[in-house]
Amino acid sequence: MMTGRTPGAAPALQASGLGVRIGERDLLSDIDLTVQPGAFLGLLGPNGSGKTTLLRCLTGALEPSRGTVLLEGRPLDRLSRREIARRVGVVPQTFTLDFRFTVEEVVALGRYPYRSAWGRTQDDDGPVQEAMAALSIAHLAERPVTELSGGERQRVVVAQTLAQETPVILLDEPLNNLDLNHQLEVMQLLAHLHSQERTIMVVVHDINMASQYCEELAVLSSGRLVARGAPDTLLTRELILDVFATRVAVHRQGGRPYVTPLALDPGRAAEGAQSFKVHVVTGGGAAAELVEELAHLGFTPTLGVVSVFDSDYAAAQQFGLPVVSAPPFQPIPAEAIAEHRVMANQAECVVVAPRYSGRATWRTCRWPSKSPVPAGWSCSSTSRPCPNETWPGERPSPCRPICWPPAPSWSATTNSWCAASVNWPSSGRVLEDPETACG
Amino acid sequence: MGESPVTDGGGAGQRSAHQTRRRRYRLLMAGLSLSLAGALLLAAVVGAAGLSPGEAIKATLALIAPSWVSPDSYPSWAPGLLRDLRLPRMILAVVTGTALSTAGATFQGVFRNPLAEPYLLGVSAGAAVGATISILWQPLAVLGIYGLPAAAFLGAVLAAFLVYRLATFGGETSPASLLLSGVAVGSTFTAVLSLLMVVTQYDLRTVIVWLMGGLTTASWSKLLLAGPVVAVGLVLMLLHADRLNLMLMGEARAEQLGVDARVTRRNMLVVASLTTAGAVAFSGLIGFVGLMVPHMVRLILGPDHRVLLPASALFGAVFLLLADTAARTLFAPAEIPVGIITAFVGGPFFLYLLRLRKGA
Repeated sequence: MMTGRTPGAAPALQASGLGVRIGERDLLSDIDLTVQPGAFLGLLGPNGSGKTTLLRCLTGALEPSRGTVLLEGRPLDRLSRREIARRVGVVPQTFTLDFRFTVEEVVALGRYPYRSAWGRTQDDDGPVQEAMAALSIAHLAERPVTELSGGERQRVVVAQTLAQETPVILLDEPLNNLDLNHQLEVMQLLAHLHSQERTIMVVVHDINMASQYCEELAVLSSGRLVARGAPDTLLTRELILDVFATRVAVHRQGGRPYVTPLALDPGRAAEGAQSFKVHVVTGGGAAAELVEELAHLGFTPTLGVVSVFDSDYAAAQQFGLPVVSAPPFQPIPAEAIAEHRVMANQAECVVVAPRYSGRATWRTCRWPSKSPVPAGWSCSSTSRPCPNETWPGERPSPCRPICWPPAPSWSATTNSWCAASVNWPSSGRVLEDPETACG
Repeated sequence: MGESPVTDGGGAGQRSAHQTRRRRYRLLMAGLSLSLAGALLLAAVVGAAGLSPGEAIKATLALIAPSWVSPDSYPSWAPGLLRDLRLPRMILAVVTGTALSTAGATFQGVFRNPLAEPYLLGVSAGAAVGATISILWQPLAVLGIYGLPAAAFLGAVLAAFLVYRLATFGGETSPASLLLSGVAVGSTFTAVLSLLMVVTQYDLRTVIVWLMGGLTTASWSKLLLAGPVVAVGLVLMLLHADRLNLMLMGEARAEQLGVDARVTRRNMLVVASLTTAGAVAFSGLIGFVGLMVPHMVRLILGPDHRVLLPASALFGAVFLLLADTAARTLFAPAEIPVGIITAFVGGPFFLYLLRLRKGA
């Protein structure tokens, strides 16, 4: 029943030069999008970026002002609704039905494109039952659809679309109203359909869901297609900052990029933090928390010198921070030290994360173990257990909490950033007497 | 209608609920068919001149095939009475009941609103103005008995056309603007009607009786016009049953599933309005049937138009036939407008069904 992928087959969907203009507003401009048979494409973009408009164009529900859409190589406007409905199934964003149809009756409506004017045809029942089973709503078959919860309804409409047995399925935010388990169920169902070589294009709000499941992503912004590619290469901090105006950390999870928004609460971001340079001297994972905190506050701290095995290094990678790194378990190369010094000298504030650490960073930066923590600095709880990572033959150094200077603040009197800073002696060996630069 | 053999051999166990619904549909259709036969017999029997059921059947047969029955088995006046008075009236009741209830079901489907009714597109007001003009404007008398129905039909179609045109902007017709322009055109026509009734010096009794709705003036020649209009409308609506089901999910969703929703909506509004006009032209404004009958059937069978439309057709026929029989016999020799009966009986029964449903 399914049309499989045949070599050299026409693209499942192909939009070229697509534009939609309503009044004075361009909802879509210059969209060139080819969806190959068997693709599993996630469509991302902020609200109002034109995702739904694009889907509507691809199904012939909306006639574009410019450009063409080809469905399996044939112009969409030359196909009847029924012909389109046998090839493209759509899961709409919202679904309302105020009449007391049973779930099974509603799912069976998906068979309409194959029906004669009268009633059910012979092969209706199999697809309907299969679709209900796939969405785990078989037990609801006889329930009136008017009595279902929002999530159950959502699954009913997905099942209805499955019963349509189309080679191409477009979904407009199918995870709306669904609990996490049902979200996963739907995404896994899509992955399963993908494995049956159906072509899937899905608008997803959850970037991480899209990243985890979709083979390919396309990003719309202000009606334009701004990026397209595999989640791995596409989901970068820069792109997301650009398109969603949100600072994020990009980790990896399950082999795919995983995005965590930073400074979710705009109140948390320190004013002017983006242009204020902070350098963190750290090593041995001493500053992972501090770096995260700074990133959340909107800073882009630089780090040095850290071993590529350190959690500091991982943190820097996660937040996309500039970092001077060095190979582990060996003396720090002179170039790294030089680079580190340049970085630190450029910074308006150098934060030292003193803590017991391995030999390599010890050499970079030695916090005077007996000097008191400067006034105003914050320290992590001293109850932190001492890391038990003494190098062989080395006397364990005293365990110190992580301390960091107060968050920089703008001083109206000096018309400059006031922040605790430390002098960075040219010898680069020993740090003494951190002083506050604020008058 | 909408029935095809149950084809799945395997899933017999889980299909039971579906089969229950099917069985219920068959039961209801059988019951309604029997009721229709009973109601026809009742309507033929009762009245000023009493007949026994046997006599009525034999007299009717005598009309069709005189050689089959012995002339002694029924009163000699019976065939004439049936042919000229009772039968046309009974059939007009069936035709009108069918037309109003199926048109109502169609309007409710297209507008996705169970409170929509067959007069929604101004059909009633237009027909009323047409009928009034034909009664008050003597030159139309040359049309004889067709004068009033023709004028009413034209008025109804004109009003529906106006409503549809006024609700169309740039080729798009939204259900909301249809409702609004329906109300606006209806009010305007009602104002015209009132004005006509105030300024005329003629006797308004005919107009008022027509407005209240009644089947008194039924005749074979009128049936010859009303019958085909309603029959064609009914068939077209039945052919669209599947599409109407999909339209209930909204036109956007219907299109996604392969229905040309805009065309379907337009066609169904035209067909339902014409069907209504065909009925209204001959029997006046009979309220409540088109609103209530589909709703009652929906409470029993669910909203599937493939069963809703045929069942509503039968139910409407039975209901109006019984109501008309009551209208002409309850206060004999006086007759009351059948619309009073439909509202009087239908209202409480409707409420009873609603409450029954809520309780279940």
